[in-house]
Amino acid sequence: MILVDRLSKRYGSFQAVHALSFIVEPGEIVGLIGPNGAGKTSTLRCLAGIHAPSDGRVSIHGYDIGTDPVEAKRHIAFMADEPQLFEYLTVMEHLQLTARIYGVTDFASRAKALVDEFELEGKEHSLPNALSRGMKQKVAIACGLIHSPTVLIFDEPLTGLDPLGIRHMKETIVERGRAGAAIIVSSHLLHLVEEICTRIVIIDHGVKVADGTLAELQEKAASGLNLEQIFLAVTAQE
Amino acid sequence: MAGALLFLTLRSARNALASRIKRLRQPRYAVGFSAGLLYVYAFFIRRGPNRTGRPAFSGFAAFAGEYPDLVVVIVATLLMAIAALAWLLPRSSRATLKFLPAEVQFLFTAPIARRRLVRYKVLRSCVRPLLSAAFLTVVFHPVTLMTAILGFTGIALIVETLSLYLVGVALRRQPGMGATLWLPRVVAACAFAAVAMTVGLNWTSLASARSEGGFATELVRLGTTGIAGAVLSPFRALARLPLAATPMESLALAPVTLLICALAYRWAVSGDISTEDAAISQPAERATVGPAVATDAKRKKTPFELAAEGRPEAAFLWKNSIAASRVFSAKILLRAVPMVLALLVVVSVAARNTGGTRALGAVAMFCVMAAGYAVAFGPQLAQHDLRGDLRHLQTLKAWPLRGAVIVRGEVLAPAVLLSCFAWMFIAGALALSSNLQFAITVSWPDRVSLALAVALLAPGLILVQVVLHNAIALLFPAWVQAPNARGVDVAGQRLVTMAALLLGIAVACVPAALAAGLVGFAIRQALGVLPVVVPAAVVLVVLFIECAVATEALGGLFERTDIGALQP
Repeated sequence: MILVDRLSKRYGSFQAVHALSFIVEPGEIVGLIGPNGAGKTSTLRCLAGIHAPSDGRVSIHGYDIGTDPVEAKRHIAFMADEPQLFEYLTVMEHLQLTARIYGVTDFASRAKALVDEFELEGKEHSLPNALSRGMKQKVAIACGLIHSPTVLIFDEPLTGLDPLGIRHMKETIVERGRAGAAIIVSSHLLHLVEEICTRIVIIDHGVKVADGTLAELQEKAASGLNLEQIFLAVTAQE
Repeated sequence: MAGALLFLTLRSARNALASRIKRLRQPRYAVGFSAGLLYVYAFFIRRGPNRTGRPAFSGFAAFAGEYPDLVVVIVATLLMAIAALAWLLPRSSRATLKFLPAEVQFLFTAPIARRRLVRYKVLRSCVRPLLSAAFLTVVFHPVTLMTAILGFTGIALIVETLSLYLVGVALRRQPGMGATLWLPRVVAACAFAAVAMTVGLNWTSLASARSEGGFATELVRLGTTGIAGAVLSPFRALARLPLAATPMESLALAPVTLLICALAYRWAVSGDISTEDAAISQPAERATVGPAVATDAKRKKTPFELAAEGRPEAAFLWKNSIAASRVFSAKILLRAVPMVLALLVVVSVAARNTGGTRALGAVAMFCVMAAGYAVAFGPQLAQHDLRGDLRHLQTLKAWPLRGAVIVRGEVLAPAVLLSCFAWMFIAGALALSSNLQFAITVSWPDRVSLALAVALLAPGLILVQVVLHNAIALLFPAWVQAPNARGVDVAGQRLVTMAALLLGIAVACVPAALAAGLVGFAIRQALGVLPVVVPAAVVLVVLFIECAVATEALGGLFERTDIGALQP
């Protein structure tokens, strides 16, 4: 479970996130959406323990990410928008390294399953500079999943993927959600959010402006509106 | 179209200058800029006499004044070697003319003829040699404005000609360009061999020269007559201009030099560019080119097998060792061959003075120098630690590890690898030490004891430096993140970090030296002898303890480091 309690993040005098609170229960897939510069990436980085919150608290399965980061991070997989792979490690070596970091003992079988799932067969021994953007994205996500995390944080997971890759990625996210993982997906692709997320949080200028299921958001706005129309309405972009 | 490209060039230069001036408002750049200015002033501009009563670099000027023909022959030989090796050494994996991602996106898709694109990039590549020439002119301290102008013109023409020639070679060596390369390679090999054989065959007469003047005269004779003289003649014509003593002499030499430079330009712009080769320098394009540039590590083994369980530091050691091992490709080693050969020649000449068996003495001295180099400069060069991993900070910070564990793991690989190198060369020097002549007689047991002491000190000194480099990387991540950045402010930043590093090493060594001194004194008092291995071991232990404490502190710093701090 992810508990975000009055989370704030400041960069100098700039307030990126302000008093943001929400909970993601096991099995939930929450879509975090907002305009450019709304504070989505800052929020996700705070949840993953990459940024220290300026104020407020983030708890992962009861472990405070600020005071007990190591235990909290054991349960998290953070998939960044831009896959950053180690230049001189092959695909398989990335998986091996991540497995060791997270203490995964049955690395070989899990790696094989992930290579199959993400269609990386034949690329196991390739270095990152021989991979396309989409392939790198798949490797980064496979690394994130090798320790069977129960909290998954995706920042623009579909960027760079081909149509088949997009379909598989959506299936992967939904399957992990069904298996009981608490998932946050940040994306500008509203149809993706509409399709796979069980709940939606909309933020603007670092502040939460809407939170609920699609049906609840439609109820609050006006029935018949799709997510795009709701998004534009609550962020006052139209 | 030329107007558009000129606009792009000038506007980019103007904006780059403006942004550099603007960033001086930030303290880190202001400090760097001040330090850089101070350095340039103190070492290159200030004309006041130094302790020897002569301006800096006056030694070279005096040497060039005394032996101008010798300097011409030496410079010509160097130019010939560079020109020949450009054909003979393996091609660099980097793109021939480096196109920026924006240039690929805008210019490759624009209605611009490839020939014009080549001209544009070749002309832009001419700017940096001009700056280098200006720098070299200042370094050589011209006495008058006229000699400065003449010196700059001469150096600029040499550097420009060389740069244009190398661009021309690189354009013709692109893969898939269909060019026949055997002829220039044969010519280059013959030219190189002719000069090398001339020197080799006349080595006895060179070595037996009784005076500096005699050696110079013999070398000039070899470089100006016979086959070597013919091979070197165009290079001598180039090298002579900056040494012209009067404007009239310079004017007389200029036409030939200008002609050579113009021919080099003509040759460079007549080359064609492979857009694929240029594009693969862009990561996004690299994958689309596919098998031609695919880098497969299938046959390369990892340095050791990573166990599924154990301390996380081992995983970092494994990862960074792989990175280090994959950097050293056969091509890179082949490129280093000329440097090693040159070093061996220098060492061999130096070894003549040791009185030992010449060849083995040379190898022994080479081992000593290499071990010293590994300890003194290795930590600066081997950056497979946090310095290289700062761009992965987001990934590292997301891992469930304490900051101290990450820092400790990161510093392990360079420390272990450099220590192994140092040990290898120390062992080599010890094995061949009988071929070296020492000022005092040193028995075998004493040599072994000394070698063991040095072998114990090496890892400690290496680790301290690696930890300090990583501390600097964490304290000033933006400074480390821009290895290709240039400018007075960047040079100043590097000076500041170098000063901090030296200070750090001194501070770290004081407690170790004190502890070693105390232990050594106690042993001497008790036994009447002092085995150097024991104090060396004490130094090692103290340095290791200091590094362990430092990595704990750096771990906290790592945890507090914001990925935003990486922005230059």
